[in-house]
Amino acid sequence: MTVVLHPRAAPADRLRVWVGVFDVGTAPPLQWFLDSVPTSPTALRSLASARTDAMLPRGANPASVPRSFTGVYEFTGLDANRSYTVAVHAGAVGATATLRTLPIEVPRVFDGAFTVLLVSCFHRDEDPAGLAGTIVSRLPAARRPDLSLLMGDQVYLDLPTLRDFRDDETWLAEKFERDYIMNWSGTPGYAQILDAAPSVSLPDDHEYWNNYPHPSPMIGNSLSAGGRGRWARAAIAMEEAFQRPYPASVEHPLVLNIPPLSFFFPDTRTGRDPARGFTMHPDALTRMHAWVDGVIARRDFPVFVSGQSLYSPPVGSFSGAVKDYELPNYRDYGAVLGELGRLTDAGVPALLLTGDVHWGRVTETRDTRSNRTSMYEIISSPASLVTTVGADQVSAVGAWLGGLFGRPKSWPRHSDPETPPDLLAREVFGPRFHNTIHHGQRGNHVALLRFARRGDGLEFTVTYWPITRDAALAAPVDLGPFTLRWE
Amino acid sequence: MMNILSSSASRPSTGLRKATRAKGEDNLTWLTRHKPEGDGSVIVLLGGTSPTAFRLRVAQSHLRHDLHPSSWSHVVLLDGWARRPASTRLHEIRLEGPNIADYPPPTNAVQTGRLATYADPARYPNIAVLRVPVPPKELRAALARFRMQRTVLDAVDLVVRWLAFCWGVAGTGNPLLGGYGIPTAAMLDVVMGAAGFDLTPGLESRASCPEAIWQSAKWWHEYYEKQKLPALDGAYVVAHKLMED
Repeated sequence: MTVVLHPRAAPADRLRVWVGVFDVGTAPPLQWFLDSVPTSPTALRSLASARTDAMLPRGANPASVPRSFTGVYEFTGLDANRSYTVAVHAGAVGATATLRTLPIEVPRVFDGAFTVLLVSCFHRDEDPAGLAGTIVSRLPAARRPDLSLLMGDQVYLDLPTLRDFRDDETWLAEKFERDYIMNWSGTPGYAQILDAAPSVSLPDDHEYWNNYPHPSPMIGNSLSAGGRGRWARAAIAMEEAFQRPYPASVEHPLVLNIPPLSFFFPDTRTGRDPARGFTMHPDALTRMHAWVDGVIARRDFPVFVSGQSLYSPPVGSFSGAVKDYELPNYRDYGAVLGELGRLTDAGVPALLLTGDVHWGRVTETRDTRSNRTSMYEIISSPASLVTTVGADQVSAVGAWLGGLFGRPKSWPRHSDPETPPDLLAREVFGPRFHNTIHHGQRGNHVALLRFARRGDGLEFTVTYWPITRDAALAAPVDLGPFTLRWE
Repeated sequence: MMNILSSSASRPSTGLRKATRAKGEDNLTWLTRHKPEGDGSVIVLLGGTSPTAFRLRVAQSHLRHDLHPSSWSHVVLLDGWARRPASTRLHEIRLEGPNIADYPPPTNAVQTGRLATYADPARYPNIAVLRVPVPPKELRAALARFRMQRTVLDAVDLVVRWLAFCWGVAGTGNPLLGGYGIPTAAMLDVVMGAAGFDLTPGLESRASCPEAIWQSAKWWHEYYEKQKLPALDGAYVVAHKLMED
């Protein structure tokens, strides 16, 4: 039996912890301690098997099947911005972690900064030595994150590409559970990223399969409705067990306020409509409307976090069917952007954070009506680039040949950042919003946003932190400060 | 062009009074006559005629829609009022004049001087005195931290960039276009911001400069009213223009 703890993001007066108990047949009773005092936290997800009984081998006694049990627990009534030691015992085995509550508000300049780590797209097979986790765990003290946003593809359940995936819910669930355990435990590795700060996870397609919920030609199981159903049930069970930011749900996205910042975390993948009606559950869109109202009423600064970029143009039906549909390929895109447009109309710039695309980019969007900055989009992707069978081998040969002629190519498998479209969502807004790229980042990286209050506004910097051992490529890239201010 | 917003105000602030200089009056007497009343801190904008001031005034033309040179080259923060106006202490980051050769890193380039330096209306024909609604005690505390924290804003870096520009070293371009504010204004912007006051709401960067502060006083009064803050108010005289309007 192994017990693992990871911090989860919560309001400043509480701690949330995810607990995993691996390799047991039944859920053991847990004893919790806060600063060595026995405590009974509130269960947001009581310790339960990641795999439902229906996903266990047919005929097996559930108690005899070693598997993972996970839960999310909350300690309330705590001081903001303070460290606490949380310990959990499951019989003779346990885990201890020193966790910090979030600050009650963003500090002013001179009083420090509120630092947010942005991570997406982590393929463990390309980082077997755990370099991403090691680098994040060794960030200088002044750059340590207060909050981590894991913005999709924390696991690649549909890989390796050439493996034969059985069209069997039991087999799939066990495979997916193992994928999660590999990333969620052990150091050095991704678990160090999960431990770097309280985190919020949002799933993207590889938490399910490439282009979920649509059929993908690379995923044989996805070509039939039954196959998609079996895969989806197994993958959703794992997302719920390992990643879901309880008490949030697909219908009721997490909102996190660290005044004057207000974060909104919609899951635009899990409940995605196969008929391309919506990416965000209709109830979540209603919640987004309420969130926008609240931001405007409190004069907060909004942060919208998503698993894909709102700036990506829609893809054609062939590309969508083969690769992945983009957010504008769904009919709720206009409604989602309409909510962000309400923020612009009210006079507040929004931050849009995302991953997915396998390069980093900072884009500023200017409203031609007011000539004010209305949005910044910050993309951080990938932390460890996924293997692409065929293309990787071609890139490696190209890089080797380039090296022969004295032109070794850095990050040979990675693509260059794309420039954003000149106009944001022309089909929704017309020619109103103009985009300007500030920076493009190539290669594996994470990003850090550092916020501080200045005057009645906020300023932030963006730092791209390369994930590499190559000293020539490892220097962090600092951008900004950028200013956010209400009109 | 620089990222500077136009205010939506249709009229300049009525809190800013044009106050001509009496014949033979020096800047100290003018300041004494127009000393702002009420709570808050006081900053003084200055427009000089030296070659360095000329370079600074022209560099700031990018903040103006007409691209005319600015009337202002410098700004200082007064530390109260001394009985003798000439002795009034002030905080600034100078690019010319006394003590320019001092070693700036220990104070993040901040210098403390006296108002007497700016008494001569021939050297500083343009002057404006502005009241900022921030308690002096809070500004002093913020300024003390500014001196110690180059990581928040490295004013020494700004000094070197601006001296290189003002002295025409190695083809150095206008630092404002690269987002580097004129050091004394950038310092005031950060210090005021730390005390909760936005000195230059028209700027979307830290590239502050005396012209941006002037535009705040002249055009951004409605913004401050919306924030339920008193707008900047005070008096000014502009006796030297590099171009006619």
